[in-house]
Amino acid sequence: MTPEPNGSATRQAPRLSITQMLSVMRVEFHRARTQRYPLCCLMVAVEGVDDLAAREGWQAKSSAMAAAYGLLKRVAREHGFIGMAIQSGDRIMAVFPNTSTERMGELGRLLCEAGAAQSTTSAAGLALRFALGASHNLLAETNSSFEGLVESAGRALHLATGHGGGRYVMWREAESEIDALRNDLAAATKSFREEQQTLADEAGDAGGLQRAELVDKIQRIFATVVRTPDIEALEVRVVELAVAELYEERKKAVAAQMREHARQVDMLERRIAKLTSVIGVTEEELRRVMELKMVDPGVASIFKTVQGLRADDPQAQAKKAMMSTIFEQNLAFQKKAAPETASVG
Amino acid sequence: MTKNTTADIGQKGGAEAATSTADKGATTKKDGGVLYLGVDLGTSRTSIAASNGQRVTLSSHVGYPKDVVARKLLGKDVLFGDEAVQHRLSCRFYRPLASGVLKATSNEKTNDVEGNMKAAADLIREIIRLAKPRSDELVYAVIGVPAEAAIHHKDAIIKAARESVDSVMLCSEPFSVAYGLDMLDDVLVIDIGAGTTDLCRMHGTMPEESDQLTNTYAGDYVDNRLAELIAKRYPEAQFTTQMIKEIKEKHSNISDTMPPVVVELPVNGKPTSFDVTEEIRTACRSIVPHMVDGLAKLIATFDPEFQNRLKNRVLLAGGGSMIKGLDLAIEAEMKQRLGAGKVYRIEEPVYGGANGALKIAHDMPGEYWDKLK
Repeated sequence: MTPEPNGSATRQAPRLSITQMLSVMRVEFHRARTQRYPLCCLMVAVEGVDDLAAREGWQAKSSAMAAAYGLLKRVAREHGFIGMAIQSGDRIMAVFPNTSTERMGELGRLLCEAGAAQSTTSAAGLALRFALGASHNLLAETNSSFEGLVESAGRALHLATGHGGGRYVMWREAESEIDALRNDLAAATKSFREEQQTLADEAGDAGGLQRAELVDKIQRIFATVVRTPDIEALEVRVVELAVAELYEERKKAVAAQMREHARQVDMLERRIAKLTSVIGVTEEELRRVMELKMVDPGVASIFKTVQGLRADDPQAQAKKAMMSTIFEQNLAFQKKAAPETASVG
Repeated sequence: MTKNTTADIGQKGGAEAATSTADKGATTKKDGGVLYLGVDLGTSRTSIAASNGQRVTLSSHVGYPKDVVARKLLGKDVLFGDEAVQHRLSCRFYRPLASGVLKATSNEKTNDVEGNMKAAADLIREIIRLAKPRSDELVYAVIGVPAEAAIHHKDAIIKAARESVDSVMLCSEPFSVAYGLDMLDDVLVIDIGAGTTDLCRMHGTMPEESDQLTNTYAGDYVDNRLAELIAKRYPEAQFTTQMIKEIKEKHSNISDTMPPVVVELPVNGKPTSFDVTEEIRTACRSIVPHMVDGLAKLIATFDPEFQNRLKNRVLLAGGGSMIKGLDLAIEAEMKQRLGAGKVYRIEEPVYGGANGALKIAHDMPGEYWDKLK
């Protein structure tokens, strides 16, 4: 992709392969870690590109991604964000050294706005609806390895796409828990609405039944008196009045229940907002205290699980036997050492 | 954006790889991971290589401040490595792995057996701490120890390591060097440490007792020999073992064309220059015949059909392998006594053992680690 002109200071960026670019990103990450400055990783997905490809072919998807990549470049340049990006498949990944989380949030907002304003080059001319996930290198899980940083950005992107896109999510330790709370809230709201509808329906049905019962009772009372045109008119009037009063009472009861539901939803929303804010402040404080106290959380291993011998190792059989022998020797030694220790103790 | 690139749709790697990592991250349960440690517990240096990319080496010295004044001055309860050496006069100073094994019988100066064991334990804890393990990770360690380390020494090492790791195994040092280089078949490994020189014959299976030899003609032997030779030629020169060790580490050379070595040693308090070229060459050469004796024993007892192959695959490892010209001197001695010989130096003498131990830890199946927890 040819860089677009940008004022007089335009210069041709070197064209690097993806592997080379990832190496450069890794170098930037380690430099940021060593020199303790903030660095952010941004993952961008364009919502609905798969549908677009299904409808208009892979060229449409390709041009939509190219448009998204161009937009990211343009917005970043216009607002002074210095970084590097790679695009492949239906994802764009960018790394911004010396960029704080606040600045990253600003870029996220700008991108969402710019995406909504720009349409794709597809026949349908759809707007680019971005889902943006970001992570920064100031958390223990993202500070130890570049892979950790990218993985966290991926998690944030997963959260961003989970709600239909069009939003920016910065990864934090408790982000997934907060997102789960948001999901719970959405489910509760939906359930309340259904319940309200049921209540309204039930109220209507019950009201109908009660109305019929009340009318019967009134009619029975009026049947005991001599029926004259005045009495009949009075009967109709009384029935209408009673039904109207009954309906109003029922309406008030349902409205009260709905208000109570709305209050509960509002309370939950406030709690989530407060929790989010408190967690953000706590994380910041923890980070600050750790820096002050020179607490080193350690460096994460590159392995997430126990590895073991690779099956495709050319000397797998010999090595397997050796591993077994080492283990047996150690087991025998520990058994032998245990009684000695016990007797000493 | 100052740097950018694109990739064709469908191209593997790059962002796709990142995306797959991201997708995986979204579904994988967060856990602490597994940290593997490979430790080379040496007389002179202790090295560690870890699967988080950390590699540290520390001289195997431990010092404890002698009194309250020293404690106040040093500002620490325990000193390790070069710091301990530097402040050894104000410390109870330990070299817990002298002679290649834990000195459970006596310390050089203090006869403090318990102190020695404690120093070893503290040293192991410190080297593991320097590898920066995270508290939420499983830590599995393989520690390379001399083949002939006694059982109570091994027990002390395991006890010390267990405080910092979840599971630990010991293995022979020369074997770990060979394993690290994937040279498991018909290789002779010479691991020259400070306390011992370990020789190990690899023939595609786990080496047995008869495949391994250990002698004490190693770095410390060279130091003592050099001290004797200098004292004999320059009786007026004043020096300590530490000074001799520094001279050796800086100038060790065995070749006939080595540049002249002139060092400054005090004579009645006045620094005086002494030419110690010949002494260094002689002291460094003194270990070669003993090494070739060991090689000859291991070669002679091997299958005659493969003896030639063994002779031509001798691997020189350990700190002692950094003596310039040692490989050529061993080759020359082998040629004279065994008819042929080819010696290879390993690329990283300091980390060779630790790298091998790390590789063993990586390849060890999970159930073995679980059983030794």
